[in-house]
Amino acid sequence: MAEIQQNSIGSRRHAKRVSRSAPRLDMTPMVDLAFLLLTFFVLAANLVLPKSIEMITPKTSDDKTHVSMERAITLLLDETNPSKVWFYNGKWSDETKMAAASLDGSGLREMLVKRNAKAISTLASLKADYASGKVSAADYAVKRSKTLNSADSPFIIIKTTDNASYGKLVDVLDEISVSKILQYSFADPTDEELLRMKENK
Amino acid sequence: MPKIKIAKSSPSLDMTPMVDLAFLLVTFFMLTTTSFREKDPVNVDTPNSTSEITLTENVMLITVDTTGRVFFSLNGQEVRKNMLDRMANQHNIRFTDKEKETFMRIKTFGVPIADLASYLKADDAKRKKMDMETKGIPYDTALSKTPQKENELFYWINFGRYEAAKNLDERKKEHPDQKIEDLRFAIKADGKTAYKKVKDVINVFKAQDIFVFNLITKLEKETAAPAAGGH
Repeated sequence: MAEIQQNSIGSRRHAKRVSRSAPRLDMTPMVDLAFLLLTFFVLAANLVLPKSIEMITPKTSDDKTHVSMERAITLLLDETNPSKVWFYNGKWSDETKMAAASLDGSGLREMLVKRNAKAISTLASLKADYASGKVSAADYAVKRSKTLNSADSPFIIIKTTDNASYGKLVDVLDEISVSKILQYSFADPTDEELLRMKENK
Repeated sequence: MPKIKIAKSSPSLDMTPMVDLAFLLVTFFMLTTTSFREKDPVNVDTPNSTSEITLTENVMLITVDTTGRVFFSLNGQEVRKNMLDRMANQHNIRFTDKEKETFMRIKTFGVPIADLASYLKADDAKRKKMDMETKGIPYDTALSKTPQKENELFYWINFGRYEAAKNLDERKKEHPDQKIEDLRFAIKADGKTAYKKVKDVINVFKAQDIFVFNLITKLEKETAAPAAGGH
């Protein structure tokens, strides 16, 4: 202790003497450089990876997956109005009436949510159970996928004309995923459907 | 008395903490930056969606612009070089080492294999011009099931996928404790592109048993919650 004190006293004295021409380092250029580098890395770095939506296509175009017709919703996408799709329920017949659903309002989403209401409410209560600890994580995952893939939730068939925009398809896929519908497939529109779409235009 | 002393001392700012912080941030950004932002050869205005799935680093990306031109992109320099070697073999084209090196640096390209050598030789300005004029990588869905030399996209996908898988296996062996994502297939198309063009590209993938795609979108804030409360 004594030694240190002595030392410190000594150094203070020393400092006093040197302080007249104190060696002061000008850090400004270094700071400039540091901030320049910082700016470069902030601007050039690719920090955010792009977002994406998943699309799962059927294995072959003539894949004969049997879907009971009560669950089927057929969405028809054409090139006319970018924010409107046609749809009909069940099996196609000559009397089938196509209805229009809007993409930018809540038209299509409301329709899909209504059709999938049972699964959505099951999922909501399941999530509440999981949050309160009534259901384990593994159990939750199993039950969740069971609800999503159940045989009575809607099955969507997406039919797109060649000139329909790709953006419209993405919009539709988005509405489907928002409505918690996991089961969908792609097909080509039949001639009757194409004709009906033209008439409805 | 002490007040007089303070007045004498020149006002100087201690910059040390600020410099410390600046260098800390510089170091952080240097170490975390894995890829630098690169200018795409084509401008594509992707559609919006509410999906929040982020793409992984390990991705094969096909860009389709409004006129249906196709551009190809794959991450990993070593993977790209091996892919080019296979492609060159397949099409009986030789590339010089310098061209191969350039190819390793260029992430996204969209020229037919016949023009690739001159594309790699060109300087940046000329390359930009070629990007504007190119018709994209040739593909023909009618041929996708019986591979023909004309369907270059089929081969790029095929070789790229093979090399990426090989590279992935090696990395997994080297770092068995690390979680390494599998290769994903992404499509980045303009919202105004005709669906037919995208469908044709998808058919080229389907001919090689690839059925799951990530469509790149811009994140859109959800405007209204669904009526039945879809939480």
